[in-house]
Amino acid sequence: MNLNILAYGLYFGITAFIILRIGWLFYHFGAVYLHDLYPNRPDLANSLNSILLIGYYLLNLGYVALNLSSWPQLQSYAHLLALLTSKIGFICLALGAIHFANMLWVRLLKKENTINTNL
Amino acid sequence: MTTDLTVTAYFIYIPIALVLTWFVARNLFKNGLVYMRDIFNGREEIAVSTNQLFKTGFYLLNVGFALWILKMYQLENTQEMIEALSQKIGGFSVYLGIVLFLNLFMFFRGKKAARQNREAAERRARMTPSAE
Repeated sequence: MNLNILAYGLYFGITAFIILRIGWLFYHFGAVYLHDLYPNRPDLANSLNSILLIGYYLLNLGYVALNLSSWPQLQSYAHLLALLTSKIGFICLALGAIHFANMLWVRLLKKENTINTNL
Repeated sequence: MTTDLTVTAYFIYIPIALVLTWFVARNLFKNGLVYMRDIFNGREEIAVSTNQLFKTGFYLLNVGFALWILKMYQLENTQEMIEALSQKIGGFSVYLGIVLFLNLFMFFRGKKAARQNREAAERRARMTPSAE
């Protein structure tokens, strides 16, 4: 068994599971914020939510797949584990950073919207 | 052996890229219709046709790009085939994501312009009777 192929399978399986699960959670709970942003346009909030979900999946799964092509040749199981955990850790960190940036963004948009409607 | 692997990789890559394009286009323009109706003030016919035209353009651009980057070199074994495939499909997927967000940005711009036009028209309508 080629260690690299095993590592690719594990890496893609685990990260795809994390990304799909988190994307679904954001889609589900983020809907409330979007409905808050467009209070009298539920159709607009729903379509924006779906577009954002698809964009998120495309960019993240695409990045994960793109990342696969630059791994070194693995020599041992220790090497495999070390590389696998650091790669998955990096993906989780990046997702967390993007998540907080998005929350800030939603807050800024909400603020701007209330200013606009008050004018 | 090498040509066999390359051909196999092409036959894996082409369906995945085409299905990905179809899925994204279908969802983007199903949701984009809401924006188009907003932009064209509920004029259904022109909203649907504009949406359809943009969809056709999206298909042309993305299917074209997917096929254009098809060429893969030096596939010696299965591992290299997986690496090359993941690079191509991942790159194409990131590209699709960027195009999707550009489209979304375009919808936002159109919606904003439509709203400003509408507000200006309302202001004009309010101004005219008071001037008489």
